[in-house]
Amino acid sequence: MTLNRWQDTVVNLFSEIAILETLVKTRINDRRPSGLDENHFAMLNHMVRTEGRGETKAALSWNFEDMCDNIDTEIEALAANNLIVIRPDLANNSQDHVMLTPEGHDAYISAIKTLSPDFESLLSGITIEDLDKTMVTLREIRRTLDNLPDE
Amino acid sequence: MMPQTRDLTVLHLFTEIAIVEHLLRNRHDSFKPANMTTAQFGVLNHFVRNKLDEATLSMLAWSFQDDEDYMRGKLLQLSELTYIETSAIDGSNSDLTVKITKSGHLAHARALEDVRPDVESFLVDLSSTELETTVRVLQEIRRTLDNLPDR
Repeated sequence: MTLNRWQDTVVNLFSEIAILETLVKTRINDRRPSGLDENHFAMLNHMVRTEGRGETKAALSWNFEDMCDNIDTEIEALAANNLIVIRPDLANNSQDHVMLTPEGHDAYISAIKTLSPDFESLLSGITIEDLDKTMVTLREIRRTLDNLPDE
Repeated sequence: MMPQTRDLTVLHLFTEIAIVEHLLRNRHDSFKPANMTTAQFGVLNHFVRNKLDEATLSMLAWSFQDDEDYMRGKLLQLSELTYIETSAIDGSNSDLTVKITKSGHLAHARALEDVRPDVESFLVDLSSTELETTVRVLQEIRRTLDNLPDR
């Protein structure tokens, strides 16, 4: 039984995405750069990418499509290591804001440096044009997926 | 000191990959095409994509970077759906031979057709060239990552 061209492209695309996600996650968990596991690294990465603006736990839970309890556990672990800080929102007593600390930022930068030798080898042989096209395609898929109505 | 631009490019790429994978997984799990979760579909997909009729539990666990008990659970579910058949391997206490069945092939094809309208809706703005370039770049990165030490 063979796949038609459309099936082949889509299967290859989504399979590569799934495999890469697993390989990178496993690698981070094996290396534990700055003592971070993949969940903690992802949380710091998100905070740096959003330029450290504080977010509520509910917003983080929505962003990560994860349950509040799981996000709470991650936040508490990061806060215990002083990598993030939880501050009450004075305007809204029911909402705590989660902020990146300077120590959290440093841990993130240090983690990237630890992973840097792996990163360097991954892009060898790939042209900047192809890399750009790949980023654009992935962003396009992500943005569309992010805006689709829930089933 | 801030990380090098190239490190950040890889990081942004992996961040997009992680987000897209997460969104696709959640979407797939809410659809359950051909009555399969993403994890179960992934196993059938592994057989179809690699043109395998047969594998072993231990090899599948290695390929998916799962522990054997977790893989055994997925195989049991697929076996109950009659999509695979398993049999004990002589001389091994726990390993199994795993074969994809005809109904497994049909279920894989049905799952692809089930998700086709949804997938087409979020790939509509992307040309086949863009998708194929993305697949090629991701494959190259995945192969490098797969061959790094410690895999």
